[in-house]
Amino acid sequence: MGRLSFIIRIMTAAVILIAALVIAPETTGAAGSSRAGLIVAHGDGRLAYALVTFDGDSITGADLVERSGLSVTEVNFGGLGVAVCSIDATGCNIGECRKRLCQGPKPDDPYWQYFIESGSGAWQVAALGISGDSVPDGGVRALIWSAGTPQFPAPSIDDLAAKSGPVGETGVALTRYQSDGSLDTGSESDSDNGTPYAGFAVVGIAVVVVGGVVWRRRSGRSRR
Amino acid sequence: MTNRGLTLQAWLVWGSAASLPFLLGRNPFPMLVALIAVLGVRISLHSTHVHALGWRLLIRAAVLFALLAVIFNVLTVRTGDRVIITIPDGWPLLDGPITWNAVVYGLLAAIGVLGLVLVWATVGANVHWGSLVRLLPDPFVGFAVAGSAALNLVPQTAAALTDIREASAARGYAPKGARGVATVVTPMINVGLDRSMRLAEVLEARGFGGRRNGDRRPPVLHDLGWTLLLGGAFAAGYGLIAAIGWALIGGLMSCVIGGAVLATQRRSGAIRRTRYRQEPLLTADWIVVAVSLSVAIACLVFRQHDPRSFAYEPYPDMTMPVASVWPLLALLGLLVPALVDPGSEADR
Repeated sequence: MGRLSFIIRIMTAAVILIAALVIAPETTGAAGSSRAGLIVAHGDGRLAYALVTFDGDSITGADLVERSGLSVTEVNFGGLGVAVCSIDATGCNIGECRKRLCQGPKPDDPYWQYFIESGSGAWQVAALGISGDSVPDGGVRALIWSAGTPQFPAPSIDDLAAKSGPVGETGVALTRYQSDGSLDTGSESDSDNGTPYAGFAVVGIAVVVVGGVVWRRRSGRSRR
Repeated sequence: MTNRGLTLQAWLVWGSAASLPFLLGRNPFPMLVALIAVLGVRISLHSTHVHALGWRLLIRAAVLFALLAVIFNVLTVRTGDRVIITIPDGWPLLDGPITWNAVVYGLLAAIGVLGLVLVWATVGANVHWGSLVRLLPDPFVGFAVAGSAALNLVPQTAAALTDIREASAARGYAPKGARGVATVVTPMINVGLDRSMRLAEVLEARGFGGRRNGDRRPPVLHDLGWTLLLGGAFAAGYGLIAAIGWALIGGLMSCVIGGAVLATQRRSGAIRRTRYRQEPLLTADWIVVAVSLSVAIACLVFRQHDPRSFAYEPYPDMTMPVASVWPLLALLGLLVPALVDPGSEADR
């Protein structure tokens, strides 16, 4: 009886949770009337320009980054906010990010820094990161993989829109540039390694070998 | 010849080598092969050693921690190309996508934790910690005794828990669920404190912590030497990790000066421990040491050559991990204690 009531409680909670997820309004990335821009500098000369359209007066920095179309890896630190670990394969893995936000031991080791355009082409570092920022209509932000400050002036939203290209159906425009200034068309080979049959074969061999050794030890013991 | 198992040295080298695949990265193939080999060793040798029983509880705890790691990872990393469900913006802290990438990474972290626990549970089940005390040099006996007392705490607590459960069952009371925790924890703490006091009295009765009457010299230089040695080691270690050159060099210099001060304070007529029980390394021990060292060196070399052979991360896109055949085959060498352990063989 006790176990049955426990199962009923769990099922009821699951139904409520699923209903809440289904009924709650879905936030989609449809095009809006407001615009915010993001520049990503990879530290090796490569740049990416993203323009995100949205409804309302502002958008959070985290939403701006997530909706930009870039391949972003983030770690959520709860009340402390969200940390950017890697963008388009530049950055560090999740473990390093959790330990010290990708920061190396030396003072000039790079990490992902978030900057706010503070007017007249100047940048100001955002100490609270992407989740503590509210980007107004026309606002421009920068994420740079560096321990220093951005080596380029903050552009206006119109200049950024010119570099990011046309806005797509999702309300986002994104263009990546190589370090020599040419367009990055993403023609590099895919990182998919294919099915690692050899790995599965070695795991199978390990199971057979270990099974044989265990059987031999056990049978030898039982004979004695 | 005595019919004993492998020595502590052999097990420590094997344990260190077997830990490497779980520490070098999150590639599932090396971790799986190492886990299978460790399980093989554990199952092969388990029934020959009675000390293995207390570790079952620890492994259950490891599985629990692993589950928590999966949940923690799923809730904190909202990145990946395989979305399971998206929690709406209205849910504070929980909003955002929950991805299969995070589940996979959590499971890999869980395998890593489980592997490390299994490796050292296997080592712990096959060695006597008293051997560790005998193995250390004389100046470190105090540390060794404190360490062995601390290490003894977990199996002692597990034994106390079993005793309390059996006593409760004998009285017709079987504590279950969260409500039963309070009735178990209170006597367990009492028993733990009681055993700790008993251990302290036993150590005191045997003269640990006492000074010889001849040690009347002012210990200033002795203390200064230890302070310089340990402080220097800490500074050098920090300097090495943080890549601060002056801290590394200064720490090493402090270590050398501290060691020199301690060397000048050493008395030639000091009383040394008498060792009644010698455990020389036999052929089987040397085989385990050699094979384990070879496996460890192979792991480090292969990782240096191709980091992907041990590293894997399912972010931002979930791709198949790289499977390098030679490091995986080398890891099968971790099975060596099950092949040569003389515990059940009569040829020693």
